[in-house]
Amino acid sequence: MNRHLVRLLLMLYPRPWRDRYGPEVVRLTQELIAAGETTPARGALNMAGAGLAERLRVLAYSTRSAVAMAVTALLAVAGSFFASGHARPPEPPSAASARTAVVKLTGFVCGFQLGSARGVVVPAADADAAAVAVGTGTGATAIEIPVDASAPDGLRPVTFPANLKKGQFVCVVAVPNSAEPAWQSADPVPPPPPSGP
Amino acid sequence: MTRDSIRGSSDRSILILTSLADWPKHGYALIKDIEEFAGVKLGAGTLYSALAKLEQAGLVEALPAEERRRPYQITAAGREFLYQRLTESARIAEVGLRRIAVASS
Repeated sequence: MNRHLVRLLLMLYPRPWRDRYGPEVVRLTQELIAAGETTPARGALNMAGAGLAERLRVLAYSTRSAVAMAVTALLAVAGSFFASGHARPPEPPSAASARTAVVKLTGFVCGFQLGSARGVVVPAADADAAAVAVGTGTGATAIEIPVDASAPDGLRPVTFPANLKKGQFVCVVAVPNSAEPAWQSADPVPPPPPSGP
Repeated sequence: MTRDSIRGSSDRSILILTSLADWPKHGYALIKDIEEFAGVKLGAGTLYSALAKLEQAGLVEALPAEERRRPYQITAAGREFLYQRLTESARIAEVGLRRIAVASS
């Protein structure tokens, strides 16, 4: 097989696969041709078939991951709503309009765990907890972890779970600080009239 | 569906693990060994697709390259996986052979 054809065949493989196994596949194909075990045409056909199969496998995996990530993000947001509702004091009489103001999404990060990154920083000064969803292409788990309150204002580091593996995705949703409920400023309750002497 | 098409990637993984069960081998040695004991001739692309999946699953691992050839060896998890699969296959084969013998007698 000439170099041009080999390069074209290798382009059929996903890049990470090509970088890792490409030289070995080419070398083995050339060895098999040289030993008369296969013909150049059959060798090329086998490489092309395997390359396309790898492409399809990666495509199927990434589609599943994207769907799982979207579902997890929705679950995480729902978890944030739930946590906000529990942290809220008894509703004022005109809570119908206030309810939308309570659920303040202070931070949201979604992405894949890559390389040596071990956490994210939630850009929110008023977050005291974060709902973290961790998953793979086939499933997800939602957990809640505390935010490091000793960090400077505006920076709330969230450390990923230690068992998070490369390729897994994470969704982080910061939960508003219950100490300063946003609904009070959105729809203030009139203070009681001062009692005179 | 032909007999060969029934053999899936699972079969290829078992063939590779069986070939690596005694000692590490590089790609060419794997293909020749599998052809010898199973009569199945794998192509280079097919072999490395299966090897990649096995390596990702932690069932085989690559050794440092020797003369530009990289040998692969079975891991402890791979040995355990192979043992379970072969035991299961042997049990099924035993039942199948017994039933064939009863039916033909």
